[in-house]
Amino acid sequence: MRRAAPLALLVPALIAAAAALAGAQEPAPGTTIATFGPGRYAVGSADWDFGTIDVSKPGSTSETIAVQHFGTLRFPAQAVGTSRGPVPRAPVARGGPFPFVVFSHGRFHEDPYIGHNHEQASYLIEHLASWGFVVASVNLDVVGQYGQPAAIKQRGEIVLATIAAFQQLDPALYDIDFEHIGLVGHSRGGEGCLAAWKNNTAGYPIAAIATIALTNFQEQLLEGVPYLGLLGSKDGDVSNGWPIHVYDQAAPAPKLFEYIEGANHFWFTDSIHYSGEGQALITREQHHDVARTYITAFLLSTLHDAPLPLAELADGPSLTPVTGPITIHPLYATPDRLLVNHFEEADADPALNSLGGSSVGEALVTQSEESLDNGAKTFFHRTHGGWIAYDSSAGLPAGTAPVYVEELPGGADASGYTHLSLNALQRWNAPLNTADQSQDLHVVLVDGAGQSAQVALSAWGTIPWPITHGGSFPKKSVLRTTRIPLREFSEVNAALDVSDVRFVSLLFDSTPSADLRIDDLSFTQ
Amino acid sequence: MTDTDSNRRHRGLVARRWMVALAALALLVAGSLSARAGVRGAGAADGPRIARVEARAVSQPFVDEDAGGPAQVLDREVTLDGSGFLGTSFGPFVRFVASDGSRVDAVMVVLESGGRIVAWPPAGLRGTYRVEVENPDGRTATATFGL
Repeated sequence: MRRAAPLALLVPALIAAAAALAGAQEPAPGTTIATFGPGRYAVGSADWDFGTIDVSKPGSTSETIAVQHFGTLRFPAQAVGTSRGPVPRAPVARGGPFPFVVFSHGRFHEDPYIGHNHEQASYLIEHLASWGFVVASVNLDVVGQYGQPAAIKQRGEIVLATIAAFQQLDPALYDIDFEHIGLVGHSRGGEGCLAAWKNNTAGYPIAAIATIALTNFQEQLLEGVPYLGLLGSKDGDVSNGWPIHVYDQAAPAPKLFEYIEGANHFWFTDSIHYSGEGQALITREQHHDVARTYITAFLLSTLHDAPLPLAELADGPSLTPVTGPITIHPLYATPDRLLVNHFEEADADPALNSLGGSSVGEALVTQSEESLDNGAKTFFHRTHGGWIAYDSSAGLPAGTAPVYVEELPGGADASGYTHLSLNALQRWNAPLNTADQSQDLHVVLVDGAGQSAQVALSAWGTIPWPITHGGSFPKKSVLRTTRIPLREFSEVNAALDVSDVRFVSLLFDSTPSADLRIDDLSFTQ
Repeated sequence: MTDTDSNRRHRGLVARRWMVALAALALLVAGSLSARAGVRGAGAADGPRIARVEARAVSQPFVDEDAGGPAQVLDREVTLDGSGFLGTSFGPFVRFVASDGSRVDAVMVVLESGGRIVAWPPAGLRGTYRVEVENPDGRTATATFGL
């Protein structure tokens, strides 16, 4: 199988942005992420129908059901005429082979959408095709009739059958690179992508999964595959935290999560409006901007080997076209991190961190560890976190402040990392937090010689006041990743030796009181 | 595309068109019957309505793929005809409410169309029940029938 053409030929617009990102960790001033706009290719379209296939019958141990296997395709095409929209049966573009993406739609089982739900992501699949992907959107409405069980496994079977069917076509027809396959899905279709990955007995090289507001009926755990999850805070359908649970429980390979203020569930489709969910606070076009920009960049990085660091999708300033008008709270983790404390040890000892060092607090009201699970009706997670609370509102001796210190036994060499990363949230229903105000702190590094440097978290991120959610529990607290470049500490104190970090401290001298949860304190890329 | 693939796709397309034609015919017939019975056509926007409930004995092996649990054999199948039934990521939910107010969820629910739900109660459920359909937006419809 041929590999993709050099990206410099394929997506020069992206290179311009990505080169700066890869070299300097942050783009040149004014650089914006290229995937906000369409790629260089014209888009061809074709409807496809491979006849009936048998899939397992939901709820049955042995029976099968016949499913009409059809959908629609968007692919990079040679420009034909002056049409700006997809051109039916246009010849495939030169420059392939192009990675293959299967899109798996969600469930909206109501006329006139039944039989047409696969057409409800044209905004996304056409964008992906313009950036050099062949995208097959498969209809899943036959299994969509199953309310309970949710027919997740069957969605996965049909996604895998779609890969198999396209592999049987004449390779010259769409010039597909089957060595690089991505799965993208919405809602139950997103969970179907996880099922396809999990039950991939044929060994298809599925190298990326991106989901929008996926369900989690079957609590499948991702491992070894890069993952991107999107969720709107005003999702009135999947409003129980499932997408956050999937992110929390996925092994970072890496993994990304974008919590989008004001987005709902169904405006991530072309035109479905579900009266049962609350009004989104951002426009449908802004929903589409988010999905197009993030998912395209994610797939370019994972399937096209584009030199675009995925961390840019966590907090990159180049995202301004999207994150300027709306607010997105990211979570991000890589496999090659040095975890100082991830608060998941079985003994849940708040005095010990993941490196075996001491975790020590001074002038704190609370230093503990606890579950941040959904069951508490306060959080939205499937993880544990450190519970740090302080109250300086009555005053403290001059020159002192509450502090939380992680000891790194013997010192840690952080010189191979570029960032210090911390996930944090403030509990919404805690009197020590002030409504509608962000929290802040200073992160302090101390080396073996006693040299130290501190950087304000707010210079690189935030601990926001929890935003309003859809569903029955309008307030839930969700972690947010803040990544501070290690060079910031070196700029504060050039004598700081990051190859011998002895202590990482959180200094609470920025607000009078707070009730926080923290997680995954780590050195990372 | 190979000839084999082309033929297969063509056959599939023809079959699908037949399905569409048959579905359209069925809708026409259903519309005619509804009009004669004086039932106003209603979509999900009007909320769910149950016009008819029919239960029949079956022997349906079942395993809950989502929640796990042992395989069982379901012995009653309940067909609900009406209108305005809707499924999103969830629902419609079907429950059986006994005269004493106790409630039990259907173990399997298939939304065949906006006008028909087929639901399977837990094995062994007998007696007179009020069946309740709840759309994911929380709107409900009920009807009483015998199992």
